[in-house]
Amino acid sequence: MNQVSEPIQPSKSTGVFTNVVPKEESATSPMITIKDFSAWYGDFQALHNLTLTIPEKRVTAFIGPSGCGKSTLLKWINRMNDVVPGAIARGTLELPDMNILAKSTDVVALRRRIGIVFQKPTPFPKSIYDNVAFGPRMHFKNLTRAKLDELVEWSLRKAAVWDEVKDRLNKSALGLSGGQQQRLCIARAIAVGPDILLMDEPCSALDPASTARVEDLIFELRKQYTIVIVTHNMQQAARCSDQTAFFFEGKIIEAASTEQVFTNPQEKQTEDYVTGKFG
Amino acid sequence: MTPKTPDFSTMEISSMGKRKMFDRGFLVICVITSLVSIAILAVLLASIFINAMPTFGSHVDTFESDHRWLVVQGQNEGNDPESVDQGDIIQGLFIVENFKRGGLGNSNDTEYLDRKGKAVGPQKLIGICSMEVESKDSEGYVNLVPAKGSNNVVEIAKQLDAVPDEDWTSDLQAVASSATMVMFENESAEFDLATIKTSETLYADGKLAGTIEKDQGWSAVLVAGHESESFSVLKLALPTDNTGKLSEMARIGKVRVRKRAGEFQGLYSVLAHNLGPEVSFKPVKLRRFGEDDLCRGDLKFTDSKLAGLSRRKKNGFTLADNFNMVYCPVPESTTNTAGHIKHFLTETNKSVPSEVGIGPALTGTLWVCLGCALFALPLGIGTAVFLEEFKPTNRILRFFHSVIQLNITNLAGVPSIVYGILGLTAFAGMFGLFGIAKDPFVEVGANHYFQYLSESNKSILVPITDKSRRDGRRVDLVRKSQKHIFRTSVQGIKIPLQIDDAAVAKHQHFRSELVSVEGSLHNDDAIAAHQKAIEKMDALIEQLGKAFDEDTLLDAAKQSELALRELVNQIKRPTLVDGMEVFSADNEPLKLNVVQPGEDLPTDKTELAVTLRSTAVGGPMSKKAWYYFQLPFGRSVLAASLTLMLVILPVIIIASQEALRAVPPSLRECALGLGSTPWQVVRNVTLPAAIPSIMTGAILAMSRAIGEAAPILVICGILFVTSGPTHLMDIFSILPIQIYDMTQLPKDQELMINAHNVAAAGIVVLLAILLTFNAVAITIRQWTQKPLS
Repeated sequence: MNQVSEPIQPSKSTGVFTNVVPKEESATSPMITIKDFSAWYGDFQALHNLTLTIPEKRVTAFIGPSGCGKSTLLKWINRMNDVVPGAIARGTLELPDMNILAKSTDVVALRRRIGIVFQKPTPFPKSIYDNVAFGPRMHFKNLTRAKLDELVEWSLRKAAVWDEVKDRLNKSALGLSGGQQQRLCIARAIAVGPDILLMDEPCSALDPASTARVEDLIFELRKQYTIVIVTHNMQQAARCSDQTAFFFEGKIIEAASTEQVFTNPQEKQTEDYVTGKFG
Repeated sequence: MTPKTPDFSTMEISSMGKRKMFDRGFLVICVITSLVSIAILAVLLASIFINAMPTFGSHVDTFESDHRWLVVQGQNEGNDPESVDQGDIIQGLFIVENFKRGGLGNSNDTEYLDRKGKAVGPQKLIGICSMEVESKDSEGYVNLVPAKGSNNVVEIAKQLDAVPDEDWTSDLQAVASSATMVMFENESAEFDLATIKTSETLYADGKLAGTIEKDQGWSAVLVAGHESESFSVLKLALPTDNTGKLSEMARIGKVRVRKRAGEFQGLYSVLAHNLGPEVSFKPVKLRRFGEDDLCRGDLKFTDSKLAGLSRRKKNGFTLADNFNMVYCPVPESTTNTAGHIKHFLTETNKSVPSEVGIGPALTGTLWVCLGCALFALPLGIGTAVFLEEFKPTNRILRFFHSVIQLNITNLAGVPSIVYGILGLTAFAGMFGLFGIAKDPFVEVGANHYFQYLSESNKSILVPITDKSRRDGRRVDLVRKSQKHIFRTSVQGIKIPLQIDDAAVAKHQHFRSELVSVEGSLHNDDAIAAHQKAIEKMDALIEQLGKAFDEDTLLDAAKQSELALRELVNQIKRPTLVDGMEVFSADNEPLKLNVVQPGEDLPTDKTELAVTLRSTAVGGPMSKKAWYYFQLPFGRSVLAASLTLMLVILPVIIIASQEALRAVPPSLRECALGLGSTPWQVVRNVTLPAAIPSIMTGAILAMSRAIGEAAPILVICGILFVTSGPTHLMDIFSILPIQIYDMTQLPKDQELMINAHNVAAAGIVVLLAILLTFNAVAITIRQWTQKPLS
């Protein structure tokens, strides 16, 4: 279903990180469990009693009109809302081995496990190499230069941007095109070895060609990572997700396999939204 | 009715349609603004540089860096200079002709000519020492070297290739000398050095003789006499040994005799050289202001042993016959523009525009500004990071946060003089919590001595360990708890009183008479002695309410005062004990030999060198290491740096905050999303991205700091400093203050270099420093900006 404009290339140099998992179609164990989850910004309740299971090594898409709470949920998953004044959450939000919302949770370790890619490509004003090496340098002790080089190359290859940047690793990352920058951000996110990748409208600032590349990349990454993607693009959700949750006014109206949501929605609101009658 | 559709095709397009990139309005505004700004800049630079040119220009021929003439007043008996022979010791005054001011250079009739036909200028007194004739050749040239044990004037002596020549006598300045080293003697009075206090006005024969300014560590005093009929009297009293020989001077500081209206003609500025291992020769100047015939260093004497000197040979005064003189032309050297600039940049502040230098002020400015940057930048950036990146979420903390923010914003607009008072109180004085600066509570890295001259004129340093002896002039200061000692004034006599609170309360009417709490004495002995002296006063005060017997009170007051004075003297002088460990000027330990008055001196030279009479008078001095530290800071470089830091801190904080605010929040989110801690976000992402803008703010702030004079004026308040700071607690001066002082220098139409010239030259240097600082900051900015481009 995807036009692979540039096939993902397995690592030629190392072979260490090239354990590309063949696509599994069977259902997998749950990665994130959300139960009776509510969230507030001050007095405003943004999310109402959500219940959802996000399966491992699958792509889960959050769709819904603006302001329906998709991004809020996403930000709670790696506790980015901690820094927002007045943000409160109640309910269950768990990884298999960790309660995300617990006060004792090590946020830094959590965010290493759950990477996030934002709407706008936001490379740091550093070189391409330093951008990717930013996370590993922070998290991993005793990294030799060779190991770091290897890791950077692996991440860039994984993010399908290696061939375009390999000759200018020490140039500023701000010189890349939007699509390249976004893939660089993905490379930066996977360089710390996360289990889960959260993507907050990763393609909304990109042109169709770059979008297609990122989508291909998502499809590829799904073999190894649990991916949650927030998108306003129905086609994108349909193209690259395994499971879709439709949000409306802070509630999950319907959550099912993508095929079902787009071809046979159970709820009227879902149908209206996916067919473009509103939203 | 709806209007019908207009027919645009028929409408005429105005010329505005032909818009160009640079239309007329744009051009006009551009041209006007750029012309005005460029013109202002050009006029500014031109005014500074045109004014500064004479100071740096090459048309000022020579400066005092070269010594061309040496005049030796011999104390040897032979009148004939030819009689000077190898091995002779010549004692006396050296006058070196070494510079020519513009005023003399700009017309022919004011020039001297030496026998080679070269122009020479007026004379300068550079030093007083004993010289030994090292060699004398067949043509009569003599080489002089400093006599052993005399002052170290090697710098001059090396250049001496002197020839005596009688023909030149009328060209040269004559000086007289007597066994007591009174140089210029008409009418004179002897002054005991030990009795002369700082800035004391002296009277000789009932007439105002001069004003003495004495620094710590002086042991020589210059006395300027009042003007007699046609000339002034100058006397230099120097320590001599028993035979009347000029002794090795312990140290002569700066002696300035100020002009008093109608009473003196002159201002003599004499700087003698210091002694000791680290001390180098310093030129001594003799200069006069006043009426024409007395100005520019020319001395006129009538009816005296001393003869004068004219500006030209034909008008020269004849020299008195009874002078013993050796005239020694020194090989001339020339200076150039580079020499002037070096002179200007290294010399100390002077009272003559052509001789002014900014050396100490320059180093002072560098110290203060570097110190300021060192404190202000980390603190300012740190505060900005705290305010911007670590905003509290708690409501109460948020309130405090906003209060701090408001304060900082307001402080940026506070006039800098306000900070001067703040710095004086908080840093220089530290609210009096640690005593006063001259008697610091905490002191690291200083050794205190009393300096004496031994009987063979060697410097002897007697270490002082007792705190109260360090500074003889200050005894009765420092408040001590529970022992309030008040001073009151009864008919002009200061009476020290010890009054407890109860007594004060009892005698309310007396209270208004009590002035200034001056504190208590340091050591317990002193307090006990003082206590005795004032017991009588206490008794009297108890009776004040009953009867006030003025005579009795005055008697008691006098007794008390005398007792106090005795105490002061006792405290002032270290007790000299036979065999105690003392130090030479080179810091070698010596054993002291004390001789009572009337006893014979030892004959052995080495022993004589460590011999002092028990009545010897010395002066306090301190040796301070580079790491010298004290609390309170006093009027020091550190206090000034911290004060300047306060001045520019709000500017740096606000600029840094703006810079941090300009960093896109998405960068922070990304870094957080990768698992950074807040501090890692700041260190790795926010700060690096903001550094270029922060540097811009720092440039502005440092520019302000460098030019800031007001707060520093309050802190340092010194215009004449002889050397730059050597430690953080040192006194200092800075360029803006120095420049201000330069504008106050005397204006002399004859001089080519005028007050505003040197002030402008100072400004050029100030601008150069400013641009250097900015260049460093801009380099950092460019360097950190690279990854952004």
